[in-house]
Amino acid sequence: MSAERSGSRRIGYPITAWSAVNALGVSTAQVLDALHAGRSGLSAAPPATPFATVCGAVRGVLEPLIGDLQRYDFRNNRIARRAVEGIEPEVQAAVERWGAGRVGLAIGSSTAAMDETERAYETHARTGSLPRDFDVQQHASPEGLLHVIRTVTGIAGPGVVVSTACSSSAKAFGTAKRWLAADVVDAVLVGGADSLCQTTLRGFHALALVASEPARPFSAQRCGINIGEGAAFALVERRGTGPRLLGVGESADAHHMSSPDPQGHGARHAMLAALDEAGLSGADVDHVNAHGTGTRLNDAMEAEAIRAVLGAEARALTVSTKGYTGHLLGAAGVTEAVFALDALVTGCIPESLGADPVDPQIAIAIAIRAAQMPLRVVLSNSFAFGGSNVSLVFGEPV
Amino acid sequence: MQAFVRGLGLWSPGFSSVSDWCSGASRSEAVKPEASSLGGALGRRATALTRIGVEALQQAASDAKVEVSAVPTVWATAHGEHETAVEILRGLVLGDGRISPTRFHNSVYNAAAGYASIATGNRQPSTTLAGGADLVAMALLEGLCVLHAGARDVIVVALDEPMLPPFDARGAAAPLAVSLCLSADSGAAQARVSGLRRRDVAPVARHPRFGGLYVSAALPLLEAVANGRRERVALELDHGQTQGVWTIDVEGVRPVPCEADRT
Repeated sequence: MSAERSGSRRIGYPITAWSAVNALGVSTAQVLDALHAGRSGLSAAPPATPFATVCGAVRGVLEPLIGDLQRYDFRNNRIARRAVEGIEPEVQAAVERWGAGRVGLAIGSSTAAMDETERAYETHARTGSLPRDFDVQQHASPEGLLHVIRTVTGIAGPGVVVSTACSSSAKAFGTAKRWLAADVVDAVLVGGADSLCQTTLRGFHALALVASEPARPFSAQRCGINIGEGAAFALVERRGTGPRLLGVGESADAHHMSSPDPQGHGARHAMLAALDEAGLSGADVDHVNAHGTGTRLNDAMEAEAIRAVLGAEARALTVSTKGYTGHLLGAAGVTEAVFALDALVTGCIPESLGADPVDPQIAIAIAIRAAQMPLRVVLSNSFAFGGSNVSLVFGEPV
Repeated sequence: MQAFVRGLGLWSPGFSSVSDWCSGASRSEAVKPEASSLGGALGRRATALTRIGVEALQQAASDAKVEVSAVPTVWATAHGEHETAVEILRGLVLGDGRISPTRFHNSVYNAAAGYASIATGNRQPSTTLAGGADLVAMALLEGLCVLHAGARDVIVVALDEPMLPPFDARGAAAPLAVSLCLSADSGAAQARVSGLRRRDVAPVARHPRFGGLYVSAALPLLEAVANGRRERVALELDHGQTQGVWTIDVEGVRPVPCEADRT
């Protein structure tokens, strides 16, 4: 463990490359350009959606999966493949450096290819049979997503899909960190992918959480969430150059399946555990990428928990990026980790889109305008159904 | 990495415990488990899959004498809440297009983990893994890594249910949940497990009752532990593996007679 620890401060593992595809663009550069420019990617919901809302849909052409991957040619897998291609050289270099069997794969997804399963079920209802070759178990599933990314990257080490709803891909960093610490692998490709489907759109609508307008997290005028789709990846290695994964804190609310504990006990505990693992305190945090869904319950609970952890006098700016992309569900954690890593490297804190005017009950500093400043430590939160909480701490090398 | 197995659990219709399973014959008429920690209100909302997962968790905790409200958990399910997902599809396509809020939150892969945490007041970290034929091995790996990261005990629960029409059931006739309490501490251990890796061995033979359910690949491991055998067990069903099959070495500490029906 000495390689990962220096005095009381842990040095963690470097993140050597990252990529994202979502409503902001089909390349990492497009995504980050839009983020820096304060430009939302939210647009019209899919036509089948029976209520007014906007969504974070990936726009632009996504190349089909062909050859051996033809039976996996679903939107979710196309988005994931597009995102992983963005860091293909770095992933290939890691596979060569460490050996394919010493590189692991931990991908978060909550729906896998649910949109495709919905279409297949509808086809069955109409014609009496499923689409030819459709196999929900092997292809339209977490297993299918793993297979696609293994095939594209040549990664041959341990592989899992973490599926804890909206914390899935943030918790994938926890799995990655444990594998590295136990010397099971030397590198892990952490990822996340989810595509828009009627199950999640209508499910969140049934919970009366979906906004008809673009989401405005932390605003006095907030109105709920927008659902988005996308994929993102981050390559975590034993050694290398890049900002570091310093801490992962996980906890459970033990409160309710779909509502956060209003006391924020679990959220606080996740943040404190992540900081403790990093050997840092709340006062060291320079910037927070919040879960910030835009629901009244989440935002109030989370802001209070951030205030409790960072301290009442903390000036660290908190942002929710869900006004840009919508809520990417299983892909949200790693997507927002990419935003946090970009902030660390560029010093650019994006505007928390739609937050102005901030709800007077939110007692933390929200980034109502974009800001530029040196950042050393950034924290990113993800919370999910089942009361699953995770907090990630990233920092520049010491 | 190594760990000590302190407790086991199993539930499938007709088999209410590991010893039921090991006796080789269906002993119970129960179509659903007691899963007593869920209680009334949560129990009425919990799905069938969640119930069997919570039951397996309780059994392993009780067998291991660990506090079910304070132990980290790792859950593994290849298809998650499949029946609930199909009920949602039926409503979307054949019904009025609406989704019940309870059914929606019951459809997440971590539903069993969430219900268990709420029912027992457990705020410890928990994760839920999905994946391919090596899912049981990946769940054990996660459990071992949780111990390596400092936990004293961890309970690993693997659970799945057969696919419903119109999807291919893959020859599975019954749901299954199995559980192991792994511990860093050798006290009260039933067995020691070590050497989790891929080897060139035969995969686990499919049991007629569970067909292609990936989680059924955990059964030889449970049987080896319950039998107190010293054995290298495979952890994957045949899936056209080209890089070997995940295996683990089991060394019994406390032999208990067990004659499982593996035909």
